[in-house]
Amino acid sequence: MSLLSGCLALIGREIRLGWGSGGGAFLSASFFAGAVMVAPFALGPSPESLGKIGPGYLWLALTLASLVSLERLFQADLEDGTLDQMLLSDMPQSLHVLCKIIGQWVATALPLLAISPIGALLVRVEPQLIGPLCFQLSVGSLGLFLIGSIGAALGASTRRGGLLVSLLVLPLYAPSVIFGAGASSNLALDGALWSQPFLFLCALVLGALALAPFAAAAALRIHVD
Amino acid sequence: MTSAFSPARFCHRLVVNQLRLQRGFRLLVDGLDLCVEPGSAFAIQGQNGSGKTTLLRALGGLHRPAAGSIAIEEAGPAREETLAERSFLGHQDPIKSSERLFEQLRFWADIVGAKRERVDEVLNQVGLIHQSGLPGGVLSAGQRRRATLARLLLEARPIWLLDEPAAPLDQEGRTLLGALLDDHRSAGGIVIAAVHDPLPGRPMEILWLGQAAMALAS
Repeated sequence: MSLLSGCLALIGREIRLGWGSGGGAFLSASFFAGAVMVAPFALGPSPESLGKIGPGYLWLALTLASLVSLERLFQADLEDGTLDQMLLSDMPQSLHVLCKIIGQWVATALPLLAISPIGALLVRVEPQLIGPLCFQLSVGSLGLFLIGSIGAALGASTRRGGLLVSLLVLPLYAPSVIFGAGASSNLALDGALWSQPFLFLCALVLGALALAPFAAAAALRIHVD
Repeated sequence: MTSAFSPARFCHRLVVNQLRLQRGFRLLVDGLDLCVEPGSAFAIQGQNGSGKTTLLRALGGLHRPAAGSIAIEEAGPAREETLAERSFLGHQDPIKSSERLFEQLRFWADIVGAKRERVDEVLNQVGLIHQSGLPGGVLSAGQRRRATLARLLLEARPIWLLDEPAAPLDQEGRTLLGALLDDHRSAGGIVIAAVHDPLPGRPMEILWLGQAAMALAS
């Protein structure tokens, strides 16, 4: 029972710190909004051109926006010694990492996903497709956060490591983006939500849910010495 | 107060066998044998860079020794069930600047499985009860250290590993630290501290570090 309350405390704290002053949880959502806002200027506002690439563009914006907060995922805890204390607690390290990722996802990705319907309208996605598309984006964002946590853990002790983390993580993002964008284009073609690419994306997210916490925990252990 | 004065709350013994510690190619500690009995305390002394912090981190399981072993044995039937046995107080106090003090301690209470009601009690004990609503960022270095001591009290673990615990504390804080250390030792707890000046409270045995050659004096 105390393990569960520990997990809830971790998730709650991650949200509280993210939404508190200096937490920066809304930066990703702001980045996403900005990226979507310039799309009609860069790609032309006509429904034929923008409507065709709109869903794919949302995936691009989501991928880049999820990199924004990644650097700080473990860095603050490593610097102020919180990580040492977590290692000395009874909680398994992988569970601690998983709770942090979930907390970070709620704090950072939920605001982004909340504004994603507006973003979809801006890039001229058909109104009836916005709901399913945003659902696919939310599933994909969880996968991106899980996979990104491995890179964040590897780069945690590097000062100004944001770019390094991005370089590490972007290749790992490729499968999620391929299946995610594939799912969205299937959605645009025949309105099928549970298309084959989307099922692959779901499998990828479940696999990341099972494996990424262990990988990230092992990577974090390198920095504690 | 909890059972601070009951004699055998903790019965753990820390046994170090032929320990060797390295940082890169630098040999810091070699062939260290140490047996710390319940209720006893060691002060690790030595020059800057002699490996005091590394030794403490190794004892805490945060640094992997190059050779040798560190074991925690139960010297008798312990009255309190604790899974994690070691509390570590490092250079930095793990205080988040945007979170209020009592929220941070509640968080640690949840993590270590302590009761949330004890948060007010330990804050009172370290003299921070009036600051409990302040965010961590406005606390002074001494207040942050007191908050860390409050966390140690919440954790209620038998082995305390302290790295310069008195450094930012004022005179009153040092007296408080001495009282906490004495209480912990009379409950059967172990204190191992890296220090430059002697800590307040009952005298400790001294362990000198330097040039990878140990001299044990008491």
